[in-house]
Formats: sequence, structure tokens, C-alpha cells
Amino acid sequence: MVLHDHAGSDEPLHQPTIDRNARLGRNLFFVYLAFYLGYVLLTSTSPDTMRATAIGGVNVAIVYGFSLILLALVLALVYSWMCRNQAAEEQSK
Amino acid sequence: MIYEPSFMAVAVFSAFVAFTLGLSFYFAGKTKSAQSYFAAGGQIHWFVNGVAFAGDYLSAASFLGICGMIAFYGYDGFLYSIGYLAGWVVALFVVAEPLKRLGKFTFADALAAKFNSPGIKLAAGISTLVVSLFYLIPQMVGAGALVRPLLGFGHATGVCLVGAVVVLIVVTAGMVSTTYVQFLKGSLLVVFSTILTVAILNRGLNVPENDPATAESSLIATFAETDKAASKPQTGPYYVAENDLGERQYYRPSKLPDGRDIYLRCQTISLAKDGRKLVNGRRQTRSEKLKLSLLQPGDHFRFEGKPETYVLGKPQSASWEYYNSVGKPAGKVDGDQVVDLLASDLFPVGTVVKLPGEEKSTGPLGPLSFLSTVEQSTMLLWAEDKTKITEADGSVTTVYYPKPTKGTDILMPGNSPTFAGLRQEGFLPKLNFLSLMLALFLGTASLPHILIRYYTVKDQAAARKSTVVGIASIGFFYVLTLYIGLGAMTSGAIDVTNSNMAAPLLAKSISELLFAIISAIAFTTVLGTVAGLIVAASGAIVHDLVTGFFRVELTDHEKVRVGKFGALVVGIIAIVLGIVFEKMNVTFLVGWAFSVAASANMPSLAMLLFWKGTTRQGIIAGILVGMISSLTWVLLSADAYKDVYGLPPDQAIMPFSQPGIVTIPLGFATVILVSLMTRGKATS
Repeated sequence: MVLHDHAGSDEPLHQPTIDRNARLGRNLFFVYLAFYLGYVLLTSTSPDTMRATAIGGVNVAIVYGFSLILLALVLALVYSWMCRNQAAEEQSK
Repeated sequence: MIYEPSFMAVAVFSAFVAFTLGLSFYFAGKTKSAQSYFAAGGQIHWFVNGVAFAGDYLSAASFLGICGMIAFYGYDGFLYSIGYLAGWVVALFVVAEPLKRLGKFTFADALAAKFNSPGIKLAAGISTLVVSLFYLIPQMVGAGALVRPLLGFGHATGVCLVGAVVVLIVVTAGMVSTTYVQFLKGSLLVVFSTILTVAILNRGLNVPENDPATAESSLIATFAETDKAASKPQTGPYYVAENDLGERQYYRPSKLPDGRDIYLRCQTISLAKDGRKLVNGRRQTRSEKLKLSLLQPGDHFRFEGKPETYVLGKPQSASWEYYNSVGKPAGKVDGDQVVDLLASDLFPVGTVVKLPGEEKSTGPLGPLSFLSTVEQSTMLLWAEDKTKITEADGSVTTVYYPKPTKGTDILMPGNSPTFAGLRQEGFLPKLNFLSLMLALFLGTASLPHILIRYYTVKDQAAARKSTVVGIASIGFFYVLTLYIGLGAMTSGAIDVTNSNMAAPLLAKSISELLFAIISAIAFTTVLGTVAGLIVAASGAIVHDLVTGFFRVELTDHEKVRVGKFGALVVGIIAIVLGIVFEKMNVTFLVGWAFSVAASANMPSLAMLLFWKGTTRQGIIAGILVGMISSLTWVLLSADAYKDVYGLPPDQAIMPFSQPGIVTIPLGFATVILVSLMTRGKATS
């Protein structure tokens, strides 16, 4: 019943891989940060925008909030996928 | 409100505790080494770890606090959901990999890896302990607050019970059992929140008709009823009507959209000078069969099998006088006679006043149409009047008043007292919001009990994958909080005095079994998070303080023993704090814990990763300055004055409550400045 992870490491600790992952993470972080900052600033400075209807009769405040949650997941998947591809590339070299 | 303890809730909770303890003892035999005790041997499967992240992170504050805040004020609770989730982006993209690569057991490991410095270990170890203890207080207070209404025990009993179970889980098999408790809790929470949300959407929105709760709670207090009130002088903003039995009812004047005056019936809790507590003008009672001599004057009762209601008068020798409902003497009765004592309590609230198109019921709704219908409806929200009313006879009354609120306002930020600044002019009132959003963003990746979970998987790829699973389950849960909160807001089941109970009471309005399960999950929520915090604290004691700073040589076996002893001590401290801080508001304590974590840990961690010029001294100074400044700020803020010391909040020294926006940059500045000053020494 215990799900332990015994498979060997799929990712060698290559400095170039480490650097590339870090760069990728940083870029995605800034993408998210821009959207998050936009949300925080809109909330605090432009209530009328947040009140406006966006999709299906639901206002911008809710659509933006849901989008931030969805965006976090999408970026996380992109990051995970791109890191794996890089690792595979490293190994094939 | 008086809650009837639910036998089913006790049964479900006991089953869960028995199962987790069984699991802990099963793993106990297999966790002998320090590596397995503190980091589950780095062998946890990434999927289990990902769900355990959710179990670790979604604390009682997330589950009960956010749902309660949404149920009471609308969108504002969801701001926390968004901030809490955003923090995971920082954890995944910035912190996860280096932490996994550089450390072995604790967050201090990774910080000290480059310099091998005992000073860093000491500073980071202390900060881990401070943040963990700070975060433990709301969890333990939450446990006590839950246990009374749900299981029927007192606050201290609840705190001790939860504390004892958690300490047992941690001391038996450390991180292994903690992980599986969190995995179980995370899965249950997400699955049953989904079921609850489906039930809410299926029920749709309804304007109650001829419902006893609404008949009493609705704003349509007739003029005949309120004439009497309106003819009396006002007490504060209220008209107080006193009936023939001397029971007081409060009304708040308001206007209908067509300009007519109406009087909204309020709910009150009064403390009389002689110590009696009256709820809505009467003693708070539950319905039960009792000997008459056990009743008190003023209690409403019926003779067995008779429909008429009477009110008990004063005892005279062996018999008691009683009155009819208009206060006329109705007879005398022997004290030994068994009667039906009638319930007298705050009535449950949370209703839709008006649906779009004057509909009475929407029927089942989809996820989007539910939100758009809420937006076009009007709800009856309730607020507590912060100014207490002192009456002529010296009794002090707290008033809860209804506020018909448009859906467009409910689904907009700024409806709650916490974020009211968002609807004010100028920049300063908005600082509290900006500060909190910054702290939530940077706080997650600075919480020690979250960070140590990166050491329980085998490599960076597993760390990444488990974070993705964590983000998916946590994000999905946070989307559900909006539905659960709005569902509670319109369930007609809310207790005006206790927002933490909104989610369980909503479940109760759907089914008794769901209530039992949701209540039991609320408890396990506390168990999972507290276990994680205690493991983090005991790890810091062993690795950062004992072996890291004091350089005590310990064998593997001794490390586990010291760790277990540390867990026991931290557990006892947590129990004591949980009892001492009983009265404190759980939600903002969590916000503070995030601020302290983000101020103390994030600047050093981020600078170490992104700036090669960071020195050992810079890191130590950054941690200490961030920790001390944020703690000091919090302790000198208006909220602490009001809720901790009982002083007038306007005397507080700090201009707003959430320190993050000042103390996080201060932490960064300290790391940079001290690093620049000590750089020469470091290179020479």
C-alpha cells in the first residue's frame, strides 16, 4: 500500500541543466508575477474594471481570480514538461 | 448558537484517528534512521507527496476561515485563496530545485550549504521555530473552537485531544506517518469539498417562503410589530421594543428602495450586570424535557402534550408561578413536574432576499450561472456592530444586524472590514491589502513545514512533479471555496457569531452525514497541518540547533531520539498556547505567520540564489532583522492592541496591521547592505 519511489534518478546534476532550469523557472515566475501584479493593482485602483461583466454574466474580479489559479497550474505544467525535455536532451548528448 | 454534538461526527472522527494512529504504529517499526524519521527516507512517491502538500498547506484557516469569510462578506475571502495559491508559483519556480539540491533535512541546510556556517544554522533554526510556533497557535485555537460545537467537549479538552493525537503521530513514525496523514486529509478534503459544491449547485438559489427562520430573520418586520419599537427613544442607531414579559428586541431602521421606512429585526447577546447572558432577550436554552425546578425564571415551556406556551415566574415556597405569552398570571405548578423546555437561541441566518426576475427558486445551476445569478440577486448579510450598547440597567449588548446587500457588491473586493480600505479614497487605506498580498505571495515558499516536504522525494524531477500535483489540488480546492462560501451565505444555516462554522453548518443544511464527514475532515485538517509543523520544528531543533550550531556529535539513533523529545516539547508548548490564546481570531494570525515567514526567510533565500555577492553575515542579519521587525510590527499593530491586549486600537503605534510591505523589503535591504559591508572580509 505504500507508494515509495524507488526508480533511479532521471536527471543528472549537470551545472548547465541546473542553470537552464533556474533561468526557465525565473522567466515563468516573472510571467506569473506580471499577471498577479495586474490583479493586485486593478483590485486596489480600479474597482469599476473589476465590476464589469466579463464572461457568462460573471464579473472581471471572479474571471481574473479563476484565471490566476488556472495560470499557475498551466505554467507549472509547462515548467515540469520543459525541464524534463532538457534532462532528456542532456542525457542523449 | 447552541450546537447539538453529532454522534456521527464523533464516530467518523474517531475512525479517522484510529486509522491514522494504526498507520503511525505500523510505520514506527520501519523508521529507525534520522533520514527516514525527518525526511521519510526521501522515498515518498511524487504523487503522494503532491497531495500531502495540499494536506500540509490547507490548514483549518484555509478551509474554515476562507469559507466563513466568503459566507459573511463575499469575494474578500477569495482574495486569500488567490494569494495563498500564488505563493506556490514562487515555491515551484524559485525555491524548490535549489532547496532540494542543497539541503538534506531543513531549510537552514540549504541556506548554510555554501558557507557551512553555524551562525546561519542558528538564525534559520530560530526563525523556523518562531514561524512554526506562530503558525501553530491558530491551528490549535481552531481545534479548540471546532471541538466544542462539533463534538461537545470544552476548548481545553479539544486542544489537548488534538495535541495528544498529533504528538503520537509524530513521535511514532515522524515524517512517514505525517506524510500519509496529510495525503489522506488532502484527498478527503478535495473529494468532499467537490461533493459539497455539487450539492450546492444542484440545490440552486432559493428565496425561502414561510420558513420559520426567515419569518423571524427577514427584514419584513411589519409596522404593527415595530410601531412599538419606533415610539421608543433610540438606543444608539436602534429602536428597542420590550414585550409584556420584559424581553427586549432590537430593530435597526432602514429604507426600502421605494422610500418606505422599515425596521430590520436584529439579533442580540446581552450580558446583564448580575452575570446572566441573554440571547435575543431570553436565556439561551436548548429544547429538552426537564423538571420544572431546573428551569429559570423567564424560561419558555410547555406542559407535556399541550400546545400552549408559558413563561416561568419566580418560585414561591414549593410551587412556581407561570404566565401566558402576554404576561398574565396563568397559575402555579409544583417544581417536580416534568415539562418541555423550549429552545431559545440565535436564529440561523443566510438567505436570498431577491432573485433576478422575482423568481422564487432557480433550480439546479451550472458553475458559471450560479455566480452570475448571485451577482444579480440580493442577499441578507449580517454584521456585528462593533460599538456595544450599554443599557439603562447596566447590561451590555452586542448587536448583530442584517444588511440587504446586492450581489454586485458581494462579488467585488472590499465588502469586509478587513479590506474595507479598498473602497476608500487614497493610497494609505489600501496598504494593508497590498501588504497582505505581498506576504501571501512570498510567504508560502518561506514556510518551514512546506519546505521540508521537498526532502521527502528522491530528486528534483520528483520535487517538481509533486509541486504540480500540489498546485492542481490546492488550486482546485480554492476554486471550490468560492462556491462553498456562497453556498453557506445562502443556506439559511449560518451562526451570526461564528464564521468558522459556516462550512460545517452548510453541510448540515444538506445532510447530517455530510455534516459528520465535513466536521471530521475539519479536525483532520488540524491534525495534518499541526503534525507537519511539529516535524519541521523538531527537525530544526536537532539539525540546526543541536548538531548545527552547538556542534554536538549525535549518532543517527540519538538524532531520532532528540527529535522525538523535541516533538514532544513543541507539542506541549502548542497545547499551552492553544489554550492561552483561546479568544484570538484565527484568520489574521495566519496572515501574520505568513508575514513573519516571508520577512525572515525569503530575503536570505532569494538573495543567496540570485546574487553571488551574498555573504554569511548578510544572510544572518537578513533573517534576524526580517524576523524581529515583522514580529515587533505585528505586536504593536492595531489588531494586536484590540484582540491581544484589550487596548484601544487607535493607540497602536503601527499605521496598519500587515507588516509585509515594509519588513520584506527591509529584510532584502539588510541582506544587501550587510553583504556589501562584509564582502571584503569574506573574499580576503
